[in-house]
Amino acid sequence: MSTDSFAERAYQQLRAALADGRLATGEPLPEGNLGAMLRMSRTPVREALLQLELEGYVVRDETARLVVHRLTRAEVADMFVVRDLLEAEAVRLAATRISDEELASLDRLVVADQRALRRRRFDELAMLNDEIHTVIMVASRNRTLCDLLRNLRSRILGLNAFAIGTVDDQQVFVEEHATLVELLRDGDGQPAVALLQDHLGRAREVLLRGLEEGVAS
Amino acid sequence: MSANVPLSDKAYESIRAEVLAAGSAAFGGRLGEQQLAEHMHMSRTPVRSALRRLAAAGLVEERGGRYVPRRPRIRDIREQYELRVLLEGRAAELAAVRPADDLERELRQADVHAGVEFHVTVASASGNAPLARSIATLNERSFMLRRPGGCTDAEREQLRAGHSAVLDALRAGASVVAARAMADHLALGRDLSIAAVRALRLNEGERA
Repeated sequence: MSTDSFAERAYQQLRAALADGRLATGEPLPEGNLGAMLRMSRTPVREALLQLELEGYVVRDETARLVVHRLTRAEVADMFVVRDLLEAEAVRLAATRISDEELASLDRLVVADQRALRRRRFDELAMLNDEIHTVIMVASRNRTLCDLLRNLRSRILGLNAFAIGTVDDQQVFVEEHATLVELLRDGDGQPAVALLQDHLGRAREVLLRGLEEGVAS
Repeated sequence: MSANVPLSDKAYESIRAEVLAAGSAAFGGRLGEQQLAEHMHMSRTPVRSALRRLAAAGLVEERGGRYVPRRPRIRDIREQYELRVLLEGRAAELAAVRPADDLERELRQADVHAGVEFHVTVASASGNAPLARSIATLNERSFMLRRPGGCTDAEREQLRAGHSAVLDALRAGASVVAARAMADHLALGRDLSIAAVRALRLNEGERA
């Protein structure tokens, strides 16, 4: 394999680690240890890190060490402006395009969502949330829309640990997922979009509150 | 990656330009790594990475183990322009309410004659970086095909007038008017792109 594809693989793996929180915000990134973690030499890892720095995922601190960039309030708010627009469009399209199979998998995810809430399994709730939003996104049948949303959400996902909020917050999220699925089954786009916008507005507030408190629960 | 960034960017840009201009006739319809590398006087590695990026952007596709230019579909064009209206309309709204000094600084390089650059400038004038990034990605993928023979003078003038209308509304701080002007301008771009793809089909039909 060429250096180029090693670097590409290192880049993909680091992006995944940033998205699922294995590399947490504010954490320093020792290049040598990352090589061991990815089982690669330093060169492709260094190249992958350069790419991530270019894209703003990692930044240099005062001592020139690379650390995972901690998004500011303003940056999170900006991202949610784009996420609102794109996910609302996805829901609008999905309302007329979603298949019976996709509705059936959403039903299963909603049941799992409710069970995870009863058991207070916050890690599962975060994963299920991601899956539910992904099924709806794919049901839009708009490939460009999916690509844009995936890019955006992979950044927000890295903040999952801050986005949990209280049990009451999660209760509302789970109920909203169930209602959203029913509206999609009806093919009723307008109220589905309105509900989604409320849903994302609440998610943004919970995330911003979590970032402010700075506690990754 | 870093060592190849300039080269693979160069490869990406020149293959992209050719595919957008010539459609399925680009490079004789075959995008072989070796031939492209020879054509552009570089090694295969940057060419391969450029082709992967072009595939992700939907401009080429893999068929039978090799890349071919992807036939632009009218449906793709409509979908992309719907998204552009959504995102670029919001960017125009946001830019229109920026403080006048900030806006002027951003718009200094705005060139009403430029195509993609104009849209990227307005996007960045919104002050919302993730929004601007999404718009840049959309523009990169846009099937703004040049028709065989290019735009007519009248069409080019219409596109330029659309850009001017957007700038006027931004400078007047009229956010709704700016978004509307952007949407009207994009509707023209969409119609020209669709006409260009139809002309390309006709051309291919005649050659076949």
